[in-house]
Amino acid sequence: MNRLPADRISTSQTTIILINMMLAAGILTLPRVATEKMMTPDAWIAVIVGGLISMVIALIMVKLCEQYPDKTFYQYNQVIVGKTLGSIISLAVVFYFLLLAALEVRVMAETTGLFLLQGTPIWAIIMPFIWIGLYLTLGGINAVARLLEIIFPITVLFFIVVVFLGLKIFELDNLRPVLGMGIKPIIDGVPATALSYSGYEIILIIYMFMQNQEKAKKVVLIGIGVPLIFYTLTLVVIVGALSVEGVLSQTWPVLTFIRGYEITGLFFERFDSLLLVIWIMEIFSTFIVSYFAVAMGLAQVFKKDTKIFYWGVLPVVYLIAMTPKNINSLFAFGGWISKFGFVLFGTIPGLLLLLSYIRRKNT
Amino acid sequence: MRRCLYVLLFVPLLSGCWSSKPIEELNIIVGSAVDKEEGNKLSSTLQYVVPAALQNNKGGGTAVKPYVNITEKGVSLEPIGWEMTLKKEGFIFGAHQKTIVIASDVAKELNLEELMDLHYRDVDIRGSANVFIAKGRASDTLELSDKSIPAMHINEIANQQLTTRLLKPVTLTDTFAKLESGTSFLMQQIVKTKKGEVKFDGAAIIKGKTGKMIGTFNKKEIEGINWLTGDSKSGTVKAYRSKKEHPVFFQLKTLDSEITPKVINGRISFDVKIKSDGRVAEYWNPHERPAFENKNVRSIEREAEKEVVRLVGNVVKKMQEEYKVDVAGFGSQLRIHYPRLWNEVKGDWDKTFSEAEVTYHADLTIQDYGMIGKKNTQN
Repeated sequence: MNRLPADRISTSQTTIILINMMLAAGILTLPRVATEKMMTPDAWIAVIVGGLISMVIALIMVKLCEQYPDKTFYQYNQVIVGKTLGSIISLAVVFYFLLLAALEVRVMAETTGLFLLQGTPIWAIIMPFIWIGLYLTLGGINAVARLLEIIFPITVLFFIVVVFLGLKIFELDNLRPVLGMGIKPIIDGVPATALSYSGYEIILIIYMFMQNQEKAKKVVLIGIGVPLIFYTLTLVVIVGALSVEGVLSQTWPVLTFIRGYEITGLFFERFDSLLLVIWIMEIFSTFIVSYFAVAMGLAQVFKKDTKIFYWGVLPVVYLIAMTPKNINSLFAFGGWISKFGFVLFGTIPGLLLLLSYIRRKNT
Repeated sequence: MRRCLYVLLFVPLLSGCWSSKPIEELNIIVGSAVDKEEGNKLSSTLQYVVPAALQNNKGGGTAVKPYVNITEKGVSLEPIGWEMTLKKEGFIFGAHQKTIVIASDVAKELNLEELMDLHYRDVDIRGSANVFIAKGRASDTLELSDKSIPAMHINEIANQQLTTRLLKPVTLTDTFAKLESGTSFLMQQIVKTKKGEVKFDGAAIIKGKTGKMIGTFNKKEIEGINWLTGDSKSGTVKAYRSKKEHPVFFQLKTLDSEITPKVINGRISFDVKIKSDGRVAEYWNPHERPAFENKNVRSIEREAEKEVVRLVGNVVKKMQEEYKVDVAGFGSQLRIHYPRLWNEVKGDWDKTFSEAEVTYHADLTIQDYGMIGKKNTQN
């Protein structure tokens, strides 16, 4: 796995990969998921705390990567804990990214089928999506990074515009009182919100490709900081517009919010389809980055050419995506993946870092 | 050879959108009405636009009604919708529905949250549609004498919200949030006049706990509500004492109100502060004292303030004594300022509220008096 010069990515590209990886389908349900555990309008505070926790974990990951600057996580964990255990850890990580890729595909298909392409069979929505993903990832990390650079400003701009247009139905009273029930609800809500940041663990894999690796700390801080602002803004505006009770019963609170207002006099009166179309790109970016991580992980564990895995994993993604029977099992699937990821990446990088320090000392 | 294969791959894309529906074949609905029928049944009236007629009317040709109303009966809205497809071809397309009218006798009998479930659940219907209560038959309000589309017409009046005598529009999203949290609220009431016009007339009171309509407020009482909640953008209030005097009117330019809860020894009370800037809009008084002098302006302000306090006091009294509900957001302020106390009292808030004491302060400022500030008092 000698890396070619063409496979390097710049600091800003790394940041954008990180941001795009985190912003995904989760935001569409975030207001409900975060508020459910708290029952107060303070979810936006919990999301900030969750982001700060994620930053700490991400910094640990960077510290770990810095020990082995020319290897990916899949390679250096074998150096630290030995071949067998290292392979098991790698496969667990591969499994996580595989499930994440499948989840994103399914959520995309689910929302598209519901709001945009009613009547189109689900396979007809999924297949072009994953085929295009395959075509892109075959071009390597650089192609992925360049596409994400195009996607990022478009999606962010549209999302912010759509959210701000909705300020018309925003009522500050719905967000008050701040901390009315004290700190306890925040503590209850933080785990749920911390899960919404899953995706930054990709730094373990793309660190190796960075041109200026010394800037990795800055990358993760900004990379998590942007979604943090995004999530906070979303929660503030949407809970403010729909009220706590209103958010709790909505399947897709963000879409309900956008459908709750009309702007007359602009070219568009309604923005829900527009946002969804744009947001599919964001879901797509999470899908391709996870997919990339899966194929590379398998290639490095089994020491085979990556291309075989790109082609081979695609049907598996499709099959996993089609497993959840209905929307409830899909949400449960999503929750389970986040928890799995949180346990996996909350513990293992820290342990590995510790072990690597011990190893260094002994030698 | 390989290139040919690639080209073949793209052939399926040429067929275009998989689930596309030609726009001419869609039955675009702009409004709907729900009425009560005999034998515990409901009837639903859907207002379809006729795009062809809209074009004709613009060209100045023969005037065709730009809409069609179709009514069917059933136990709830879903089967009624399917029943309609026996009468009119094409899918019912609800994404452009702007106006929903519910007859008051339905609202009195059924829980609104149950009745409107289809509207909340359907992925096509958007939460921005306005909901109204009709005095009399709801379907009548969608059949007016002028040539515009009634659903659009009603919606326009509601959204412009020009006077303090009508409510801030209540959307589907609003009603859902209120019903979910068990908060009582008001809905605009509309009525069809004998001449076949629609008129905004008073408000229906919906009790949050039961989701049913329990009474009405008239236009004067809506004025009180609007001054209380500060939800109006424009309107007027009288600034003279009795009928014997000549009319003087204060026109409001800005309106702001603040409800502050106070808890002393467990007793909940509220203080309402209303602030408004405006102008003298009409002044019939033949003995008008020059408005160029500030003390004369002040005396008009004082009269208007008294009237505002009276309007607000009246409606609060009616809320507390006659209906025993809080439809003006007193509870919401208590929740904000005393969240823990609120958790204790929210279960039976409407009753608790009806025993709370409320005090009022109005502060109106006349900023100008138009083009004349003085009339010749000699005549």
